[in-house]
Amino acid sequence: MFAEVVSAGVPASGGLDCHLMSGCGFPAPGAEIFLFEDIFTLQLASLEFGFSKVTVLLLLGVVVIVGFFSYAFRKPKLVPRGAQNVGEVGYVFIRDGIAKETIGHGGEKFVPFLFSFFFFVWILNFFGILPGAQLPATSIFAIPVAFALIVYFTWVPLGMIKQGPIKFFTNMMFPPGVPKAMYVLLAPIELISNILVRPFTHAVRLFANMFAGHLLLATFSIAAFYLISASVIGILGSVASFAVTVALTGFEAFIQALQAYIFTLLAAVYIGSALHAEH
Amino acid sequence: MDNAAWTISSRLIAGIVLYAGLGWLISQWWGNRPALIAIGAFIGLGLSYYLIFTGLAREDAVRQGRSAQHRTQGNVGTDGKDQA
Repeated sequence: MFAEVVSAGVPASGGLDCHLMSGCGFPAPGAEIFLFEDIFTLQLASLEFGFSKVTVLLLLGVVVIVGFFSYAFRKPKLVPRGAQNVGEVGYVFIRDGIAKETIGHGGEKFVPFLFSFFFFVWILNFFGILPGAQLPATSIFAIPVAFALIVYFTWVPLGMIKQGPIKFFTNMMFPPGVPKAMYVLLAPIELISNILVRPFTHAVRLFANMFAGHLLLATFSIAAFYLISASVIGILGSVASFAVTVALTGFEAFIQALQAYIFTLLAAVYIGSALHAEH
Repeated sequence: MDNAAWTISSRLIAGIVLYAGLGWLISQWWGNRPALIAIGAFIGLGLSYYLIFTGLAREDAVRQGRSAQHRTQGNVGTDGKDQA
């Protein structure tokens, strides 16, 4: 009875018809919560572009970022107020905290690149706890992969230009301060770790964090709903699951900002390693 | 440029995968001796650790050298003595 009243207000999705007393087991969310149907498709000549929830969130992220920062800096004043203040804090954070600190000399040129990445990744992560969106767009693996590839195809050509096409790889493969004989064993590790593993871990680090976070939130919100019933276990379990969902939402808010920061910091580390070889 | 810490994960993965793969290749060649894969993985792990530790030690040395330089320069400024 109680369960029916509550379920009336909740949209049915992901097996939400199941309840503790109704006999069916716990409808644990799986990878299917990351699959979306196309909302609409766009036909351009012979190319077909499908727009799913993820695509819409990506475009929304672009609009929010461009909108906010063009609003913030529409009439820049010497003494910033309101939105301009927020924008400048963000800019100074990226410039001093990431670009100058990590890249060092020559880092100023990459502030716009890192700035765009930080705020775009952050807003895409933030969609995970935004009511209505509730999906971190970066939990779809293709998106962090695309970002990591953009960074990869920035620092590799940059390093080949700055250090020379051959010297770039030899600088990478032969770190100083190691006995000459060890290079036979170590050089392949260094090459693989820099050229192959770096872009992979760069993408996976962001993806796995957002994927796991979204799955955790989904599991506990479904549990809170599933356990609602007129029994001691039901009430205690449901309240506990709901409390955990609230706590995890706060935790996710922290993780989202942290992962956006780490992604940007790693991009800066890679660019720094392309600009200055280890001596 | 403290990037030795950020290369730990990729060095570990690269070292283990590379030498475990090498062990697998040799085990295929010698006729299915899977223990070689484990031996390869341990060798790779050891070499990765070696790379990580030397990398971190090098950066630490650079950092200490830099701060020592700052200190002596500060003293020269106040004492007015000539630089080394």
